[in-house]
Amino acid sequence: MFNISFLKKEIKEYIKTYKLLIILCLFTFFAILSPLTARYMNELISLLAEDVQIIFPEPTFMDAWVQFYKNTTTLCLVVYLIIMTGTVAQEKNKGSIMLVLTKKVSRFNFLFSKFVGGSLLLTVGLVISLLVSGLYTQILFEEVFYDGLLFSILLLWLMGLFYTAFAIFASVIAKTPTTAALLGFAGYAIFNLLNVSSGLQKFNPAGASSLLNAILYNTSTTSANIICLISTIIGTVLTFTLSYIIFKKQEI
Amino acid sequence: MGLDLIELLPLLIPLLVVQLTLQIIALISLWKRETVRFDNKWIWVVIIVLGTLLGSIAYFILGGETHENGSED
Repeated sequence: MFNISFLKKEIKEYIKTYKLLIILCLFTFFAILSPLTARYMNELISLLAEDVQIIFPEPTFMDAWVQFYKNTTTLCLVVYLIIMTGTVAQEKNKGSIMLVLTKKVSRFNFLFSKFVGGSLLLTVGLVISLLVSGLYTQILFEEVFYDGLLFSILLLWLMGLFYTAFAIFASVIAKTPTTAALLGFAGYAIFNLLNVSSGLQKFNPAGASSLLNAILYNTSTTSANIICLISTIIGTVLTFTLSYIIFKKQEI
Repeated sequence: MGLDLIELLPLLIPLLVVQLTLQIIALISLWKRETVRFDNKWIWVVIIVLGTLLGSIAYFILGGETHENGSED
């Protein structure tokens, strides 16, 4: 059912095309920067605006997590999404997809390997960034854990998987990698706009980006958290299924 | 309230290492590449050096040459 050799080829491709390097460097960079910014924000503002007298509250380890979630769900995720949107569109454009599909690799296997490969790339990036950020937060604030941290990480990871499925969807329907990247970015913007409405947020597969801070400050309800979790899983499955249905009927 | 850079240095070094690693690899890749988008390698040198981490990422994502049929490397 699942072609492991094609997945290995995908992973080799991530190394060869520097995608793995980009994700590792980007996620690590912001994992270091987030706790540092949270810890020294007051000092930085004081340095930049010496004449202005503003008294800021003393930063806590929670500010480090706020920064981490903000950076991960914006810049890191957008770069990952753009990288992933090229995944099918690039092969269609170069014509290399024909070689793969004629080598006994079914269309489902092709698409599913892309999804698993992308998910692995994201998981590696997230695990490293969480470890690095956790270490820096511990050094700077001497506190890391809060109630709901593991659930937040799970939600963040699942949202990443949803965006992986969405990137593949954009890549399947677009003719060129540039169009796929634009579609992916437009989708990211729309899913984030849906988060403005608190009623829609929990049903949004990308609702986690707003819910993470609510979980951190213990202002979200258990039912909202669970609904968001289920919506993200359903959103991922539906988006991937839709991509496959379109890809199956597509003339290449 | 002030920033003690000497005290901060051990925490900042890994940040600089990550950034410089990506920039150096991007510059090596650019040097080895025969053709680039915009047909001007110096534009990409400026983007990689001045654009720091994001400049290097922009090079890796967008720096590939564009073929006549509109496809990208």
